[in-house]
Amino acid sequence: MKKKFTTIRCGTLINQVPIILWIMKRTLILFILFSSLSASAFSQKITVNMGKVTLYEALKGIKKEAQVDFFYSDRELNVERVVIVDYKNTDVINIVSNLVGDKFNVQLANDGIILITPVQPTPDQNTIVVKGVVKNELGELLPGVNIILKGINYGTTSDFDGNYLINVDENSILVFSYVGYHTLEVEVKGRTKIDIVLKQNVKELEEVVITGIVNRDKKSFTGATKTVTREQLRAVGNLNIVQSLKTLDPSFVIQESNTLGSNPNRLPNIEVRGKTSISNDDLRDEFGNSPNQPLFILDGFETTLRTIIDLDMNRVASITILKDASSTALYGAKAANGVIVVETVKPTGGKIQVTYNSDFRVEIPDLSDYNLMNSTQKLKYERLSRLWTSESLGSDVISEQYILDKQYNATLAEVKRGVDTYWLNEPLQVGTTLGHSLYASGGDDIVTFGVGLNYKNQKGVMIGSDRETWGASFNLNYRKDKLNISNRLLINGYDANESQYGSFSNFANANPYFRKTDENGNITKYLDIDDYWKTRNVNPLYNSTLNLKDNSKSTNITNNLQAILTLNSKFRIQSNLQLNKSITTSERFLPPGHTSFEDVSYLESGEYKNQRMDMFSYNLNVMASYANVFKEKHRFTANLRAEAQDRTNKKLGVEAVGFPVGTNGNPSFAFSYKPDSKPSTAQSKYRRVNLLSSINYVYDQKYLFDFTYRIDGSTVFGSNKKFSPFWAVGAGWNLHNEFEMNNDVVSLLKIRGSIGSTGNQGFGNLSSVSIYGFTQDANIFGQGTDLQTLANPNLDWQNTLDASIGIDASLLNNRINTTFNAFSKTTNPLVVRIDLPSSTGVSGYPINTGLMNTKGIEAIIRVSPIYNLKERTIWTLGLTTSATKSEYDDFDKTLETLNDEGQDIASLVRYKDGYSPNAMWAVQSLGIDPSNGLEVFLTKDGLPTYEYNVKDERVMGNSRPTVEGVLSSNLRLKDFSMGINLRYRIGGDILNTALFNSVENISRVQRINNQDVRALTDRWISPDDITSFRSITEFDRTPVSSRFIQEENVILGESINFGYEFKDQVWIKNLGLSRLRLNAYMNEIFRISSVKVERGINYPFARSVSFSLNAYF
Amino acid sequence: MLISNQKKKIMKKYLKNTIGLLFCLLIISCNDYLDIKPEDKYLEEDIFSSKEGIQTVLNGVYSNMSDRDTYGGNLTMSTVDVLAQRYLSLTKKHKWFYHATYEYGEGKVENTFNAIWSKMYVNILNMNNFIQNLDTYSGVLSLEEENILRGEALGLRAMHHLDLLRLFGPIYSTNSEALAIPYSSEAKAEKTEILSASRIMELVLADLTEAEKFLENDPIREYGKTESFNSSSSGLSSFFNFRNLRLNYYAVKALQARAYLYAENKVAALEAAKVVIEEGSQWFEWTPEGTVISDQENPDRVFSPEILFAVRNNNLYAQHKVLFASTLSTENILAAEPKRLKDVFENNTADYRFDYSWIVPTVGGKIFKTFYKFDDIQNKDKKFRFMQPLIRMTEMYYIAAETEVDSQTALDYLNTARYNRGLVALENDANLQNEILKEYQREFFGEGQLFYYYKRNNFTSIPNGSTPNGTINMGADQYVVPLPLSETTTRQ
Repeated sequence: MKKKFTTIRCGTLINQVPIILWIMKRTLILFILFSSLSASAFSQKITVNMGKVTLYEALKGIKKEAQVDFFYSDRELNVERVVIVDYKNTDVINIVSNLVGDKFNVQLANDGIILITPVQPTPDQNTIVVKGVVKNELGELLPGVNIILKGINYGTTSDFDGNYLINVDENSILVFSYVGYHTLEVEVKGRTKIDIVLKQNVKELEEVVITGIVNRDKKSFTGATKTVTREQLRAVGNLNIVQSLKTLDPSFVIQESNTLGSNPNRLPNIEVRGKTSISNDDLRDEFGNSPNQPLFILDGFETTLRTIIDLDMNRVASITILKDASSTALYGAKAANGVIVVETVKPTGGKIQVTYNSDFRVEIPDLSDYNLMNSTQKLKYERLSRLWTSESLGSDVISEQYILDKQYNATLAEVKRGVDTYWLNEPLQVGTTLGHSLYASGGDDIVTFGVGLNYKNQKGVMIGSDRETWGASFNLNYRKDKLNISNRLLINGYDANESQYGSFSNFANANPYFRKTDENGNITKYLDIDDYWKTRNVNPLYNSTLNLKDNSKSTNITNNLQAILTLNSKFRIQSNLQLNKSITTSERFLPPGHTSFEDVSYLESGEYKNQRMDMFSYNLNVMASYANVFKEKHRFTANLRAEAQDRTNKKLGVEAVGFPVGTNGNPSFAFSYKPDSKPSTAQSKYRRVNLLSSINYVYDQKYLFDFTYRIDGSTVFGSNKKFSPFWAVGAGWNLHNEFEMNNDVVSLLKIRGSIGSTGNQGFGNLSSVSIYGFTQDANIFGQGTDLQTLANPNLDWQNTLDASIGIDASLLNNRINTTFNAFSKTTNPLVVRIDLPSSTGVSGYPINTGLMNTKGIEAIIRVSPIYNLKERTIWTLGLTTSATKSEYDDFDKTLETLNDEGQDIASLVRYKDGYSPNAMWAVQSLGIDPSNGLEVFLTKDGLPTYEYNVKDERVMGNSRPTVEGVLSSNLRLKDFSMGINLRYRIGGDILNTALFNSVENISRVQRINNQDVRALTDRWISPDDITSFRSITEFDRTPVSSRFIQEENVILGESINFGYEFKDQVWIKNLGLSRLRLNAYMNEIFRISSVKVERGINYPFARSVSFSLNAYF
Repeated sequence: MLISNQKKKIMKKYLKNTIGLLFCLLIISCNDYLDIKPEDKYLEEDIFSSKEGIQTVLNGVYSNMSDRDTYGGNLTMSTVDVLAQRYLSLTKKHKWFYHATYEYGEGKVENTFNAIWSKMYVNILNMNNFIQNLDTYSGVLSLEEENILRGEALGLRAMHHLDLLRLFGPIYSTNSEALAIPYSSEAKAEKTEILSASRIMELVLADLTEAEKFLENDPIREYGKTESFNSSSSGLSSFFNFRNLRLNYYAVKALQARAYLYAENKVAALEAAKVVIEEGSQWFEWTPEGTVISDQENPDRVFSPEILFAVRNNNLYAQHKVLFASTLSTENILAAEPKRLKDVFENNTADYRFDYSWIVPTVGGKIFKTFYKFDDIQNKDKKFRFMQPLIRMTEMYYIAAETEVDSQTALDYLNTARYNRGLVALENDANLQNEILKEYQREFFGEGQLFYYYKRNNFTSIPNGSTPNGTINMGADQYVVPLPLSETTTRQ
């Protein structure tokens, strides 16, 4: 039947002749039948058993048994088909229905005649051919829209160009339905051309999976993915995309940085579903990424985390997180850590639409975790820790003690006078962020355009640290006949400054009994009382009075050109070309007066560094797609895609030293280049190619199959292993269709699973071939070259085998939505850089060794106790949760040298078979011996000892929380909305750095620094003190032991927001607006932790309150 | 039906085109596309595809030999000479105190020897890769050129291993079967077994024999250490100039003499030394007295004409400033104990190794003689500038004197050498071995050979550099430098 319709579509008379004949014939038969038809409730049960016979024989048998007659057309009903007849006490109608199949209606007429008619529309003389085009509101043609006649299981679908054609009764009703869009019913009323515009259903947008390569209907997709819309992102916060994304999906985890805090210029560490690689830093070259970072795709092309963080949130249409092999295998070699696909808004047709967004954000430094001494406590601590007690021997003691006593009394007098400087506040401010974004789009059927501008100025909580980002985009879309060409140009950049106050830790260390300024209110270079300390204590405020500079700027130009050629309803070819160029310059100037030049000659005081990075890349891909539906139930889609990518990085840096006092840092004032230095350079070039094929098959909306195969070639790995295949197979089962569940009760119940392999290329380049570089010096024979890299031609790609299963369910008219996933990722082999015996002449050689397995589960549950669409009142409670567990294996002692190194530098990380990469290795401590204040350790044999021996170390904790997730409540009351998102983290262990660095491990020299109050209150002083910390007069380095590893349970006020939308108010119209939306947020507003630890060592954390305004003209 | 067929044809064409296009893309994108060449570096196959490229690789080895961690410092002027007690380092504050007291476990000392060990083996890796690639990319050089380059590389490999053996190996005369060092003769990222000292010596000698064979036609044997090859009659390029700055045929023979003597094969040592003396003397003439004494501004303190093999060290004068300059503080300067110095030269000012290399400085407030052998000269065009002597002719005379059975001939060898240093001839009743020792002490200041001489002869006590008269007891703990941790901890 389908075939016949497609023939009609050719639109020629010749082709229509058989159709007309066919309609005439059908009408005739039915006419005869209808004339003698009437309904009957008659029911008769019979028993027949004939075994394998033809349908004709079977009907004959039933006719005899049940005393009925049959009426059918043997042109339609294939009576020669063999069937099995074996029924006991079954209704005649049921038997016949069963035998003829569901393509035929079986009806009993009252005169004992059973009518067998094909399931068909009931066209009569008024049948007409209706055709038209289906588009969305943006003017995009919609392929594959389901078009059925209301009340009858009969219909067609639109082709690639959105065209459809159907022959129907002139008075019937057509139902247009398409995933992600509102279903539309249209009365034909005799029209022969009906063009349709479907409206997007924002709620249902989640039902489409945008993989960045092909868009997939979620119901037919077997991958584990999560899609969020701009509205959802904006509902969480307005800082940046990744901050909002972490609240919305449990598998997307941002590692909190205890040192960098809320610095607006930091780049967070992001993981999706845990780690896949060993990330010892030297594995990457200058331009490599973290090997555990997910891949970011912006409008179909790979991009950097920096770009994603700086991207204007208002330009985002949707973000999809691809988690398992079935979805990530599309990206093969780089997808082992998951893929984040970001799509920006596309221009819409029609009259010009303008949107304006404004964001305002206030950040307040969060110092609640600091627990420092005041001046009285500090002086007491110093006295107890014998800072004021002479440690000399012999006759010097008395004279030295005299000086110490004198100074102590002078200091005490200052404290008594009330000097108690609170240093922490000094470098801080209330940070404000102001952002503007403007977007306009419009056009006609053929050409549409979109223009966007955005600017944001983010001021951090440390004075002088800021980040300005800006961008301009211009999108043009041309569509005519079978060709669709679109071009997107984006120019963006940033200008970022670090605070001139330097590290925040300088302020935490500053002693509270020193005054900030001298009697005239001037900031002194050194902190002192009575000229005793001289130049020992630098005033942390002093450097901020100088004209320091630490700036980086970047400009980035990206152009994406896309062409789609639709050959016919089944085939289409698509090609994309991206060009990208970026320049990043960083400048750093330390004036000669800076305290770091204390003992440096004036010719080398002052320092200027300049570094410039240039990046250029191109990326070309071509994809052929084929989609078809066979026999109505077999839906088949296939894609074949080839891609080539090239990226060149260049870096050049120079350093100059020696500036006269008072210069502005212009390098022309420098006395010279840095002595014995030469310009630092680095150049690299990456190339990648890949060929991808993906096949999707759906049977009857019930059974889903996905198959992906990709071959990747790259310059990254061994020359004998340039190419590597990746694959994935996935299967799904739509239970709600299989068991024909009530759509109001179960609208979606899907089980899916996939397995596949993906790779990881977050490593450096060029280990595949031996590389020569120039030697330091030239000589009389000219230049020399030497080996810089010895090839490992057999280095294998890091391969991750990813198995995942999951359930998606949507119950009670979307009141309950849940997703459960379980996965297991195994990376085998790992790539690790190891040190070989130095007699090989090779160091840091990359090898394949060991494996890492990460298992995990994640759940997203959303329940709406109130769900009243009519009243627009919805209350949704949400819970997301994830738990992962990782383990190393098969190292077989190949990494013992790395472990030894770890012991040397007091790192908690070890590479051992059977243990987690997040395991924290330390010697178990039994606490402090009350009799002498010494720490007691437990040996491997379970014996207490005062001796610290690294050989006794064992796993004392795990830095990954057992369970982590977000609890949320979202309420919508007509135009008002409110959301609360609370993050919980249970069972993770942390090294309490406050205890380790500010309570213990205070060296003799560091006694002068301010410390955690517990250094005074909780340390052992005299025998029988029961404390957790060593003697207050102990200055030797404390090794890391289990005492400092603590379990941390946290509840965090991640986001609380309120919003209101003005739409129908008169003043809105008067302002020329169609809609106006206001939002207010509080982010990271509170934190309840079971561990007291200083956070934000070099840059404090902040609480934030922000507002946003979205106006639609 | 007709149209349908036509459509099918069109479709087929599309399909063909599509597949064709993709196929093309795939073909293009294959291997060639992925073979990229870095801009600031060279791929191995590029560098070995041209004569000039191959030459830069070998030159890279020579260039890296002048690194201050190896022959440009530690193995010549500083560490090894400190081990030989040449310099004063009285207190713990002195930069070289722990080196001079053989505290090999001390962090700083450990780092020094780790640097020597690692850099030497990096050099060896470069030579091995060079030698291997001469085979892989054969035909780029003429056979004649290839032989010479290969001979040099093999000889350098032997030289590096010999010096590592002399430093890190056991006292050969008493313990030659003890495990010493690995002999690396392949460019690979795999550990090589640590072999016994005698086995290492066999390999060193084997490499030297090979090197000698390949250097059979070394232009030096015909033309000397010429400065003016220019592809004229000889057909050789300027790369074959300055053969004394390359491991030439005579340097290989000299290394054989050195190695055979260390392996206590006196006959072979003498034979090799004699080849150098007899055949090499025509090219390596004695340094005229005048160039050292008369030319006050540009004295040739390294006796450059006699140097069989030197490397050009661009940092030579910078090293002088760091190690020996009179302006250095007493905690940093390497200077000989004044009385000890006098004794070594027997206070003989006629010895022109003495007063012209050891001068009481006019700056820096030092009232004793400091070391000027490697100080820069006025005339920047002198060819001997930047020469870091590694093997010199006198050593051949000392070896010949030590190994010659006939005592008169032996004495003649030594007297020839003495004569050319401004010393009078020794009488027949002189203690020859003792005089040879004295010559080693005088001749090889800043050249590192003395420590190996002590170690070879296993002296149980040697003069203490920090005291005017005392001695220091020596044994395996002092003579044998332990292998660095970077080697031992990664070997399990």
